[in-house]
Amino acid sequence: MLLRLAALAALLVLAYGCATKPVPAQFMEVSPQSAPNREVQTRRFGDASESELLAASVGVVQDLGFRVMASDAQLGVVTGVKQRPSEEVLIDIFPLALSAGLTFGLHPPEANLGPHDSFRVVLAMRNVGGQPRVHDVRITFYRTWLVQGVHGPEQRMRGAMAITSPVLYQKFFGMLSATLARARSGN
Amino acid sequence: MNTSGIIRTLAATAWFASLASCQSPPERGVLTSPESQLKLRSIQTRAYDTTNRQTVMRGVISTLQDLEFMIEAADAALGTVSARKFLLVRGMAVASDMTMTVTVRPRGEKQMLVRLNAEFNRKAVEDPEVYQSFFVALGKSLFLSGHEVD
Repeated sequence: MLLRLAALAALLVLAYGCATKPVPAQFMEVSPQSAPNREVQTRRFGDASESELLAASVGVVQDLGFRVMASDAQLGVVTGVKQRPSEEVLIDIFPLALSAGLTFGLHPPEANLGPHDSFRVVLAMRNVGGQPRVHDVRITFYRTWLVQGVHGPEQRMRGAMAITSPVLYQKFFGMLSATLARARSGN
Repeated sequence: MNTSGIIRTLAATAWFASLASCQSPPERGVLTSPESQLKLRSIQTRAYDTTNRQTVMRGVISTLQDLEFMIEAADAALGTVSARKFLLVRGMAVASDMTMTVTVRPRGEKQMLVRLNAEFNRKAVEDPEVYQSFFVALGKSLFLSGHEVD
């Protein structure tokens, strides 16, 4: 009887593992949240050149404490990174452990990675309808998990999740509008 | 063989069968034969009837963002965009990731050639469905349909 139960349990565990393992095609599925996320992350600016918008965006990204990692003015793309202070990361460990314990493993999957230790930002612009002063600005903030590289000081990413809180994006676009207005008034 | 022996044999068989089903998908490994390289290049590439490289590159960036990929680098001069996506699944402590490298270059005087290289957990993806999904999404973003190339 015990042997039968053990064999059944082992099979169930293995079957669960196989069933949940992601396959490449899953990465190309558009989640139902994709459209609402795009809406939150995008703002249309009706009277600004791309260079004005790009300069103002870089300024806001820097104001938020991000280090600009890469940018391409021709494509209107900016990426940045921001490390979290280690004391903030440490503070997050306890609630995460508590949540994992209280939910008997039904905690969100990202909790398995522990507290995130950095943020990333990706900003991209796109012209609308060929009008030179109308652009869509899309920005996405990510929580990211880094790991120290084995062969050098560089860190590589071991996980990333987009932040979906609308408040964050409203705040960013508010700052961007204010920076644009300031730049136009010469301040 | 008594009942307990039969159960043990069945359990062992089921165990091995389930282990076999957990093996890596067929896209593992690097292709070596020229025929399969050509086939892979064909499924990785589409031609679009436009001469505007920047518009195509911006469409690529926008498509990758819609597919929830994180843009890591973009270079207009080289015509390359790199992006990455992580997938976290309940019960798994390690995130799976897919990286994409897209190159855009002119083809003749009337077309742009878009080539996508996808890697899943650092192994080249050979599943045509992955490339097909990307090109369908890119076509919608560009309002153009891609042509297969040899």
